[in-house]
Amino acid sequence: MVARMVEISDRLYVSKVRELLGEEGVAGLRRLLAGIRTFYKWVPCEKLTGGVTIYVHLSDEFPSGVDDFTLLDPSRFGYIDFQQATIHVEKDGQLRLWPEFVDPFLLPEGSIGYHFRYIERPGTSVEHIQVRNEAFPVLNASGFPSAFAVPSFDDLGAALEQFEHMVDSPDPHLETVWRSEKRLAFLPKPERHMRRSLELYLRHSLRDARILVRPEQNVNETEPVDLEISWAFQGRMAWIEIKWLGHSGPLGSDRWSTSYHQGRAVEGAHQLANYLDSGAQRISLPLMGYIVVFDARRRDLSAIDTSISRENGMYYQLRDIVYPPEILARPDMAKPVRYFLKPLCDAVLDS
Amino acid sequence: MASDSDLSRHREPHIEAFSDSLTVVERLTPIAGGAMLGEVHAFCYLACLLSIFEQQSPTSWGYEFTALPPTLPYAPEITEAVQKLEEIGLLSRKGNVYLITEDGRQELLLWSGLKQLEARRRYLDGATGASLVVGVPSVGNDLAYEPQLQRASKLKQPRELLAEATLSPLFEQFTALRQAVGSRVQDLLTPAAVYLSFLSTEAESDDSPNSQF
Repeated sequence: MVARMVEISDRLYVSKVRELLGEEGVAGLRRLLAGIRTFYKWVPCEKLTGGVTIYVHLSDEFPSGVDDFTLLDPSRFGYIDFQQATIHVEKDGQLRLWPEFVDPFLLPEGSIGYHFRYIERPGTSVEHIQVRNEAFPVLNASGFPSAFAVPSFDDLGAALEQFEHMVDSPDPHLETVWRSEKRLAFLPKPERHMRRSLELYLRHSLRDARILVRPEQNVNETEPVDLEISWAFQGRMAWIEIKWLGHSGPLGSDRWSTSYHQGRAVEGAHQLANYLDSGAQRISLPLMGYIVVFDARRRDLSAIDTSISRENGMYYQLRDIVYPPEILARPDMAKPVRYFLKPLCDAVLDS
Repeated sequence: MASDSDLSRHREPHIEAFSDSLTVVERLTPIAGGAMLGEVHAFCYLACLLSIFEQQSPTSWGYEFTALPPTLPYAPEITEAVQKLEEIGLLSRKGNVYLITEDGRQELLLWSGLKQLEARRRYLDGATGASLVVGVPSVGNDLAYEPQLQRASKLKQPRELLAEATLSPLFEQFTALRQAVGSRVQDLLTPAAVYLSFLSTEAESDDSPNSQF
């Protein structure tokens, strides 16, 4: 256990800052992290394609070549259209802006710097904490481009709605489900990666809730619910049932191992309704069910196809799943959620 | 003769619970716009764990925690304190989020002079500081894998936390933590962040079902 704890500690920039700059460094790091979070309250990190450096200096020095930083109320940052910047976090927490990007390697000695750059294609980011000439990556399992710009929700429905913007972004779990980078079809058993991606997203963004994974635990010893969310202090619970639609098959195979169409989602909704009925008999807390569908249906796709036209690839984008009205009318069933997973379609050539 | 309900109406919440609750809300306000009730409990529990990391006895914390429901730390004194603080205007509430008022800030300033509360401020600062690193929602979820809470979760019933007889796994983790970060740590942000990161890896490796139902 000691080796594991040491290995974990060595990976964290917090430990590295303390190692290099001592307790004064940790105090500076607190100020820096607070400044970073304040900055991201007003500036979407996806704008920062030119890069941002945010730093503290233990003696409040500015980098050389920088004439003056402008003291700004953080709310003003939202009105500035910039793709790059350098921000100095003062000792009292106020932020000073220099509208050019200063390489964190050029920060004065005694600085702790933070660097972030958003890379539009493929929608990834670079993020690290810098002390002297050493850069320490910021570990980020949230799925958002920056570990410090993760929105928080106190409503599960709002969180699930926002997740739609995540499914087309690079995600270490969702990226592994595809047979190819064109995202035409899944590899076998993609559901655990979908569950993991959604679980991590909710763990990092849903406030005052406990996210429990239930891949093996059966509600009634037949089929499992995927995620259980509990808000103990608000006295309620939610069950999330995840389904995927589309085709799956091993690489190189000339036939699909599994194909799921709309009926699978409807079946999932019926299953969830049954779980809710059996759950209501045992659980005293109000319980809400969510059916969440990862939809990668394509029209006319065979297992040997390596590309798809836009017409066939996007055919189901606006074709919502039709659920039985009696399911939708249940007061313990939330509005079904569907994430359409877009393929990379063939480019349309101008004639 | 006073009934139990009469007595409970007149019993004052512990000063530690009062101060801890107000401190957590104040510290989380710039980070997360305030604190929800479960978050106040969670951060107070994490602060208590940090005191145990520094080899203080759990009984010296001033109030006790229960796992209720099994994955959550809960102390009735905290809930009482938060309700009382709101009643007397030191906290306000927006939906389910508690915010510190100007009167609350003034009161916290007064309490900062109380010697009996001095030591625990370090633990609360370490605990709330960890949310600068991992974010507020993650802290509660990572904390669910602390051995005491995990044990209660697997037993699927409410359980007293930090009882002497059950502390061995926690002591083992904290011995390892002290070896990793050192035992003479001024700002407890570092051990808090390392410990939560450790617990999140416990979450990844835990294959057993952990639902309460």
